[in-house]
Amino acid sequence: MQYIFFALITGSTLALAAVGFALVRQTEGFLNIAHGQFMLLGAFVAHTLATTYGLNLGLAIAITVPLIGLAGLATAWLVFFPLRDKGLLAQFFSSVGVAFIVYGIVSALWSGRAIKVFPITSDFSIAMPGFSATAIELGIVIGAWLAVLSLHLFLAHTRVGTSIRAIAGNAELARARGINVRLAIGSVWFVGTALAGLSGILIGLIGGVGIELGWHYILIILAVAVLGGLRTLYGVLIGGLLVGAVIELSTLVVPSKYGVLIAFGLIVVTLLVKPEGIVSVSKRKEASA
Amino acid sequence: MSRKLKYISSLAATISILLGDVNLAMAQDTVKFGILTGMSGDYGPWGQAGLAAAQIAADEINAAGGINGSKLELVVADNKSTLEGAVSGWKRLVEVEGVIAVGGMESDGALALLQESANSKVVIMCPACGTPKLKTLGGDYIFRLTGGDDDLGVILAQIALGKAKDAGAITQGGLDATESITGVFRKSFEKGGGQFLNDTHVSADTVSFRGDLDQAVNASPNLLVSTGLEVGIRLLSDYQRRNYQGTIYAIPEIISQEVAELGSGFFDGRIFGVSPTYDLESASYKSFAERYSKKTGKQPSPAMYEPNYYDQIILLALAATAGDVTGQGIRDNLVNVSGPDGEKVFSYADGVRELKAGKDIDYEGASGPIDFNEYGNVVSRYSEVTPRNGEWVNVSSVELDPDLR
Repeated sequence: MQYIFFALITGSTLALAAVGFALVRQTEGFLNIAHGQFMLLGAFVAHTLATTYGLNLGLAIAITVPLIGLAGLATAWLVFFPLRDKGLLAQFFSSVGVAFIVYGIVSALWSGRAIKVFPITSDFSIAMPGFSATAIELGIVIGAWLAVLSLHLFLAHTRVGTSIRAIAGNAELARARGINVRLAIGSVWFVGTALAGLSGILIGLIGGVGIELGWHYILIILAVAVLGGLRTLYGVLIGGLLVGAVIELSTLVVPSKYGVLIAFGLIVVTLLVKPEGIVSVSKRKEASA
Repeated sequence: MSRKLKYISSLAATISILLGDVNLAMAQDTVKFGILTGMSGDYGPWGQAGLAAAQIAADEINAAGGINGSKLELVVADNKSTLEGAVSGWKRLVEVEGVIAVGGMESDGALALLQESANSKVVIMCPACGTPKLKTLGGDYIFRLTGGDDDLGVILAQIALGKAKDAGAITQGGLDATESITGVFRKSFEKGGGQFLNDTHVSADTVSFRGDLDQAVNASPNLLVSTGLEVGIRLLSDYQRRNYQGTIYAIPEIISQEVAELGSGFFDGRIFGVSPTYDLESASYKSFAERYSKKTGKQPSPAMYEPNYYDQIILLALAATAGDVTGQGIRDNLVNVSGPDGEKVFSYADGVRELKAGKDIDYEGASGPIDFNEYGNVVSRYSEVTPRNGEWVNVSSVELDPDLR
């Protein structure tokens, strides 16, 4: 039970981080490697607001998340939009360059201390034999899924959300039907990067923020997105939960240092069986049922 | 050869000699020591504090006329607290900058560059290297200003035995310092009658330590945290958040300001570590502490090794003054200027004066008496420390129990 809860915490943060990544991938077509560094930037900005400027943590998060979204939008406008005609590889490699630039900026601004810890104190916890959950852990799980639910509502029930889905499905057709592509893709960058910032903060809340956070998570996010199926956001959510479960539950059998290894092994096996990811597998099963 | 050609040849030779002299003069104007340390990453807090201390030493040396009339320049390279950074930083300092000694090194980098330092005749000075391997491998071109982790492991076990009869460990794998301390701790703890119940190995790139910590605490809530700073902080944050009740024993890598401030008092009197202790009343320490405080606005911390970073530069400069201003000259004279025989000196200026007077010297620095043995090791004194109100404070001095070795 305890380890299932640990898996839920890890899976929720991974799912949130990966869903923003997959959103950009679906509409823009390339893998945005800079996504991890926006997680790092979000965590550091929120930490600074909460500690140096003494803001309430909730307020610090509320300010940081849209700020990171705007940073992502500005980056897209400056770097990725002008490169559209150069092809996906140019955008992909540019995202690696952007990742290094953001990492360099964060290193320069927040260098010196090894790791930053959010100042959280709460006595609230739920405890029963074999299980306990603290307020911050519950907050992280609830916060992550509220963000995912908000994204779902945004995509399913707003005009911009519908446009985004249309562009993800067929950009040319969407243009031909008069959809405001500029607004929709701008929204994707804003929302996707804001989710990166939020996931970075949530990871920082429980584990502290180290300078290598972005590099460390981007590979796992990529794996989650590929496992879930890059064409479906809901598959990515399932992928996040699965990878989180494998990482945490594997510690019952082997040391945690092998957890990521096992997760990647599982991904390789899954992709060998179904290259489109697990959700496609489920759909086929549904269809045949 | 025509007269014109002879004239050109003579002119070229003269210019060449003059340029050579100019180069020689420029080279002699400045003596370069490298500081290769973790200014960022796990050892960042120590590196930054240590650099300030090293600069105080360099200022003192230059104020006293430099090294045989040449100005001392410290060239700094950040190894990012990694082995790869240590090797690439070494290449830059030695091959590009032409330093004749490198200070500030950590255990893993020093061990990796052991042979290289001898080959290139560049002295390595470790202010805080604890690896037991240097107990017998040092002394040629590598010297250290602190005792080994084997002593630290014994003393930590000694402290742990005084608090509980059971303990476990969480060890960061792949690091010489962490694995060696856990090994010594376990042996000494069991030798002292304690039950060592579990050693959980973790890796720095693990996404979550929650499962590891839960298993370790279930075996024994009294844990030796033998990890780098970043992993240690993540573990301790989890330990506090889940409100585990036990005692933590911390290796020197964990004893940082960040940990002292962690948990808003949760860890006060709950984490115990071992730190080198200094004679706070000695003239050398007082003089250093005053200048350190003036430069940084902070007092030296019991756990940050600043006096060692300061003393390494003074010792290197005294050794260079005593002989040739080369890596080999420093190496040949380092043991002599550190004592124990000779006129006791407490500053660079005192040392130079006595050396110029033809006397042997015994430098006693801010970190205390420094007497290198044949393996370049010194004997350190230790104290038990714990956090209190956001600072590490001394609990008591600790005499190592040889029966636990």
